[in-house]
Amino acid sequence: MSAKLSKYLDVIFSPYEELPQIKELKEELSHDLQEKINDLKKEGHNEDEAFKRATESIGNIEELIEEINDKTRELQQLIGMDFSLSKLEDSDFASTDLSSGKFNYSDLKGSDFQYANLTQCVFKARNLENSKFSYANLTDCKITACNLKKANFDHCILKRTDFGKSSLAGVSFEAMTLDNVNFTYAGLKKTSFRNAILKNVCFKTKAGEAIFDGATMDKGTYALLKGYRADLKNVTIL
Amino acid sequence: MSDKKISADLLRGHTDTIILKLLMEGDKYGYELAKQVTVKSGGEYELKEATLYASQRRLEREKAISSYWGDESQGGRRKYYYINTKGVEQFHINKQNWEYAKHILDELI
Repeated sequence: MSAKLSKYLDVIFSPYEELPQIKELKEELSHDLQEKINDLKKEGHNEDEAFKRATESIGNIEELIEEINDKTRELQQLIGMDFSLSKLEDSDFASTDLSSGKFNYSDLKGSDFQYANLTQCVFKARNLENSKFSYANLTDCKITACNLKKANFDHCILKRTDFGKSSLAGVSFEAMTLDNVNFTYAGLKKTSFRNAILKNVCFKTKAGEAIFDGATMDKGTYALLKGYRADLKNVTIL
Repeated sequence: MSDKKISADLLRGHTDTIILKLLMEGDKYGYELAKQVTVKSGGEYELKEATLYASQRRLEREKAISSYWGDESQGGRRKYYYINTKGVEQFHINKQNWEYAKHILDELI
């Protein structure tokens, strides 16, 4: 494969976790594109023209990668649920001290963690859709590969919180302070950081559809977001 | 221009059936399928990779087709697709549905 094509594909695939299914798609695409480029060259196009024509006609491949990504995540959460010893759906953990607790593979859909101390808690591959975390302390908490759609994080303490690989579509972090929070490979479709303060936040993910209007951030966070094509028109850099 | 777009949308709705038909003639990899579509349509219709791969995945999930990796050493591995009995059945149903719709549309338009 040409170095140019290899680089081109790396850019497209970089915001996504290297799941086996996604790696396979990349391999398939790289082979097909290379052959297409070779054919175009045989037809008389030069290297650059051939590359341009081949890559322009791919269509919306990102949509497909995201679909594979979401499906795999859902599957992980389903498998997780099957092995869970307890179904904790709609449980009430409000105001409790759960620090350093582990909640791997339980279904916690719609649970209430308001005002709870979740310091150093580990939540992995779980369904936390519609859960309430308002006023909870999430310092050093790991909430990875979880479904957090429509979860509520109002007035939370977010310090060194890890949201890696979690789906946060439509979640609001408006006017909150996020300190050293990690969003690597997280789903941020319509996730709002409006008027939020972002300090050393890691956004190694597709950030194009997240909202950053009125946010304040440090240079490092800004540079990373810019690289992942976030809309940063109305932000303030510290 | 807009006419072409409408036609492309109409054709895209039949991507699954087109792929099933091509695989009934033998195992093929992605680019081979795309190339056949271009050739057979006289260059009038080009299947985009995103559309093609989405369709391949959908058909695999429905167990209409399956895939395997080739063992080419030069220029990367190819992912080949082949049709299952369920896929052949699905093709015939889709084709019947299309003929039926075509018959009605011919009367109406």
